[in-house]
Amino acid sequence: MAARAAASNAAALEAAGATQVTFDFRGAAVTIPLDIAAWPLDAIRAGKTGRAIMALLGDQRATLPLKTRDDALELSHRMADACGITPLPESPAKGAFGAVPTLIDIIDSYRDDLEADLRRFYGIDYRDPTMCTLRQVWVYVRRLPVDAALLAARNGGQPPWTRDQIIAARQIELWTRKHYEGRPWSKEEVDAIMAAKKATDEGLDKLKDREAYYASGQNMRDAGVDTTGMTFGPPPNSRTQQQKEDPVGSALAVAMKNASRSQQHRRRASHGNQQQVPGFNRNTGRWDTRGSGWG
Amino acid sequence: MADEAALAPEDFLTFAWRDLEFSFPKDRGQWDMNVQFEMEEGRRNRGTLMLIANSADPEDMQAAKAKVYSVARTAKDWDDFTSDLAEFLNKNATG
Repeated sequence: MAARAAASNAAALEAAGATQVTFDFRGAAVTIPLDIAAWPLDAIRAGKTGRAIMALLGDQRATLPLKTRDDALELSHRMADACGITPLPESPAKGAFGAVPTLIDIIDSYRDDLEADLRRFYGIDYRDPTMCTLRQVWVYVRRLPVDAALLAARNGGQPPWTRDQIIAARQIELWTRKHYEGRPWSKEEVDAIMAAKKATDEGLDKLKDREAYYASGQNMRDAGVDTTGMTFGPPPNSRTQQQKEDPVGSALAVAMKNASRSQQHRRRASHGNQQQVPGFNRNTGRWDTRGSGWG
Repeated sequence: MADEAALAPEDFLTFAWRDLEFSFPKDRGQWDMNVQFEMEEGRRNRGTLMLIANSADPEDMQAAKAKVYSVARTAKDWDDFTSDLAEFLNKNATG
């Protein structure tokens, strides 16, 4: 809310022809250039936050309550707010100076897309940058519709997904019971996946502890069995380190194990497993339904 | 010195190295802002001294430097110290 008020104040000051803006930072008045074109943008581009803050503050530095990194970063965000370069609410600022680094990146790296969108949506000819201030550019950019060239360019060349497209894709997912390729995961979905993964990891850790407990023979000692002279090692069915690291080796081991079981089963069958299965006629190879209520 | 009065003892990390101990805030946001500024400018050694001194005061930094120098006299020792400190911070520091 404060950022929104600061932004409208910046617009009013700009319309009135002001060159500086004064704002309150923890009880102290701070005055900085209103137009961020007059800011030390090269320092901000280079990620030199300290140098940029000190250049903007000048002699005011000594009077400000600045000690920690959080203090400095907060001041930098308030500076951006005061000049109307506030980030979108859904993408809060990372680093320093609010949305100024994002705006600089757009102007430096996506100038053609920016020029095309300003022309298409706002009728502004940005070949002449004096047509609007950087604050105005930010105001226009942050309100571009989803089919803007800039949004697609910053999204790897693909237009961002709209809510309608996501709903349509989720309907297809319900029919096909699999994730629609390319659909962005929602925050709730990511949270659910992470929670499930955490639960699985915790379960595996618990199993590992139990495995170690039994493999060490501690369970026998706890039960009062004298284990003197006994040797303990990993359980016979535990996978080797190579199998753990090599998925192909692991898959082959499982296949061989299954094949061996299958052979044992066939051997038993060919040697005549004479066990009588109730209701099954071995001579006809069919189930006898007499007396079962189905006949 | 950073505003330590607002921080509880559990908000601090203690880095132990060759019988020495250095204490500074766990949250990087609570470090003296000049630590980051020095690092941004490429003055890593100066930033490291500010961090372990937990202060940008030259006297505190000099005291921290003397403390490290008491057990680490060579360039390799200092490299080992900064390398171990970086590993410790990556593992334990927040923010």
